[in-house]
Amino acid sequence: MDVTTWLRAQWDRVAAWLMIAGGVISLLVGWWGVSHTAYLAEQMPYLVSAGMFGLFLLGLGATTWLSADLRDEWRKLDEVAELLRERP
Amino acid sequence: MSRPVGPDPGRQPYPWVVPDLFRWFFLLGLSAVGLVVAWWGASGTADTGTQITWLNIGVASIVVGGLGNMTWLLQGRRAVALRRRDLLTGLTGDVAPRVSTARRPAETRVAVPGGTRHHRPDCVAVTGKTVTRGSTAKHEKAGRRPCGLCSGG
Repeated sequence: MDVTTWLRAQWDRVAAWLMIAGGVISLLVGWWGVSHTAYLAEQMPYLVSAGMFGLFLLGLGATTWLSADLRDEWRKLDEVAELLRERP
Repeated sequence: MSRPVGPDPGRQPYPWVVPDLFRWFFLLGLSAVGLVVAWWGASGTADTGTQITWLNIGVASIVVGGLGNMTWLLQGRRAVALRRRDLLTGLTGDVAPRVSTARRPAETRVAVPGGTRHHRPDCVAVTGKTVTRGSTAKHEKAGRRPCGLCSGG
């Protein structure tokens, strides 16, 4: 299977990994911003934006990954149903 | 003859339907908008008390997004579970009669005259005893119940 076919078949897992990577990067940016100032008023926007957006992306990535698993299971059930249908 | 099982023609290709997708996107969108508003509010003031309020809005937005993800996954899991149950029900419908006839080659039951139970002919409760043979219906008509040892009842 070439890369294009694999990407087309597993687009949701690729998207999940991208979102998880984006979430981690966002959390790192938030940590970097918070650690470069001693003022709470300057730290708070980093917490709300980068920190929470990172959590949002991590949750979305995990959900997308689990959705891909459910989709695979659904297709496997399709195959089982088809085998049962063809059974004499 | 096997029962028709599996996907009906035109069955959905995914565990979700379009309204599930819309609900998920709506809650995610609400969450994203809430996060942007919270960031906008928190960065527009230097007052810590006010920022805490915006922080709470951000937390609430994360919760809304989490609810959206949770309902999406639960819906998918439920659909897969229902589908699996349908398939197993179809299988049971096919296999059950064969198992039933294989395990019960004959309907002949025996009973001790004057007894209140009817048994399988090889039941230990009637070994060496004088018994009368007959169908389950006949014994039931005579007021006898299945033996707890050999009939599981």
